[in-house]
Amino acid sequence: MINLSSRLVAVAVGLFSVAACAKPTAPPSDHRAAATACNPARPAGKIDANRSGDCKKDRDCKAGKNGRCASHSNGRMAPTNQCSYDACGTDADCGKGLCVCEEADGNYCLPGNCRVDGDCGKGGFCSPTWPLCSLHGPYQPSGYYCHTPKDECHNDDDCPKPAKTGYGPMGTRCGYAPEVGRWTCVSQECPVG
Amino acid sequence: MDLRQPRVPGRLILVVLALAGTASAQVAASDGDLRQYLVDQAFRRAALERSLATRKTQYARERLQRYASGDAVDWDLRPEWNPPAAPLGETSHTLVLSDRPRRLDRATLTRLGADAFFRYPAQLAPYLPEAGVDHAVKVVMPDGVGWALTCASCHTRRVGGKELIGAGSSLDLGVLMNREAPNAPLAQARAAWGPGRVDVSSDDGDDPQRIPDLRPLRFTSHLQHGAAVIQHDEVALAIRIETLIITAHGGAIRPPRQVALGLALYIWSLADTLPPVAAPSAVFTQRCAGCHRPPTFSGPPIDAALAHADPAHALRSERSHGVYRVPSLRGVGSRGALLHDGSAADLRALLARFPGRFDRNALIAYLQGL
Repeated sequence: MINLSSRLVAVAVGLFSVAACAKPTAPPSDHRAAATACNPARPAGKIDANRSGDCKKDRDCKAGKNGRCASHSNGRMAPTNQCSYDACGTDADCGKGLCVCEEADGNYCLPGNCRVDGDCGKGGFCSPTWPLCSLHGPYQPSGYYCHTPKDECHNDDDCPKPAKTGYGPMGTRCGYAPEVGRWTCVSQECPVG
Repeated sequence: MDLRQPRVPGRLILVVLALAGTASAQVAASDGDLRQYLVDQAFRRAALERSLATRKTQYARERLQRYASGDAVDWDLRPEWNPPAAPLGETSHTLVLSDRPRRLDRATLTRLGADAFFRYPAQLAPYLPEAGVDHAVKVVMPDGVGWALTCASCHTRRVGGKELIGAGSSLDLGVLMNREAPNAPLAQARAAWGPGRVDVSSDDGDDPQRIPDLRPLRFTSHLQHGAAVIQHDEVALAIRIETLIITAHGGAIRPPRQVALGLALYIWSLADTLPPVAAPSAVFTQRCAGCHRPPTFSGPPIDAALAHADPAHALRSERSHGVYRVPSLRGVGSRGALLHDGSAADLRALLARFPGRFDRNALIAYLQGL
């Protein structure tokens, strides 16, 4: 009798977990249909003459490619003038990853399991995912990954919102979870500690 | 540590009285409670609610909404994750779990916890260098192999070639995290954290905290610098660890409960690695014992304004409620930087914050023996 009850509970929990899962309601709104080459002529940096920092002009930034000196915010800290560089110009510069064009902060490489939608099969989508705790910065994706038939979500709208009496302003958003190899609703609480 | 001897403000008396009931010495959970944690959702829910010092923090609200809540957002519905993992150069394997949790005993769980401390991927860390860092593991996942930090990565400290398990951290997490995003807005601030500190807040500021010394946790009434969690017993710590690992993975997975409980038991066992304590010296009794009470050398949380430390962290509503816990001083001599934010480099720097004439050398000598 005890065993039977346990099995019934297990079945009920299993059914509930299926029923409780969020389901994608629309195709991903953000995906990479085609690769693009970045602008090789990066615009000049915009410094704040009233701020200090590690540079005063673009020519001070010599540690990398296309160095630019510009004012950057540091969260609650005062902005400073900092150098930034292009880490790539095309996907080919990024090994198995892809190149994201970013004129203000410099082009950068990202990892992932796809570069464009076509890498994800017919009708597939290759989308950017954001790091946990993205309010902390970097204010940029952490990788590009194919959507899968097992996805729990495609867009943030598919995920539970914080309840009015809920746990805070961040709620959940749709992100790729490498642990399970699919897109799922992930918490935005900063994860450490 | 409050070494001052001023008049005691009425507000402090009220705070201490209010918290005294929750600050008794820690008692080991019964074997029955350990088993209940493993198999009984209602028990876990009640234990969570009992462990929250306040329900007003974001930390508490998220757990109240999602831990053993029995609804659609319950973390219990997430898949249990026990992937093959291993340090660099070793063969990957999953942790061996019992399929009969009701028959598990403390010794078995503690051994599992010791294995998990060094092997379980507590947080993915794609920014780690290929050579890895101490106690990082390679984890087998659907897309391939990735790096992760274990408990030991962040809670092991090297001192003169010797490794002190649980005693804070030698890891410079800010520098490592900057590898992933060197142009991030907080990159410069992270670079200045130094070893053993990390920002656990969710806002856009820079608020690094000292990674705590786990060795004396068994003697501590509250968990987290801001005393957000009451550690009644190992079950409270297991829930703290379980939810920490869940949020470290964005809520996408949950650890096996045997692992969370095993880690809690193992961490409590680290107190046995500390040296035996000499009777309190006169200067300690006079200057420290008011807050750091023998034999635990800990005590109830105190008002942040009285803690000889920057009160800002304790006043943020994310995890704090205006107080700091009083950490046990057992092991303080090998803890490295001190205070919640690591702003005192060592005992001498800490004592420099306290006015008055007393034999500082004698006090330091006693504290280093704890």
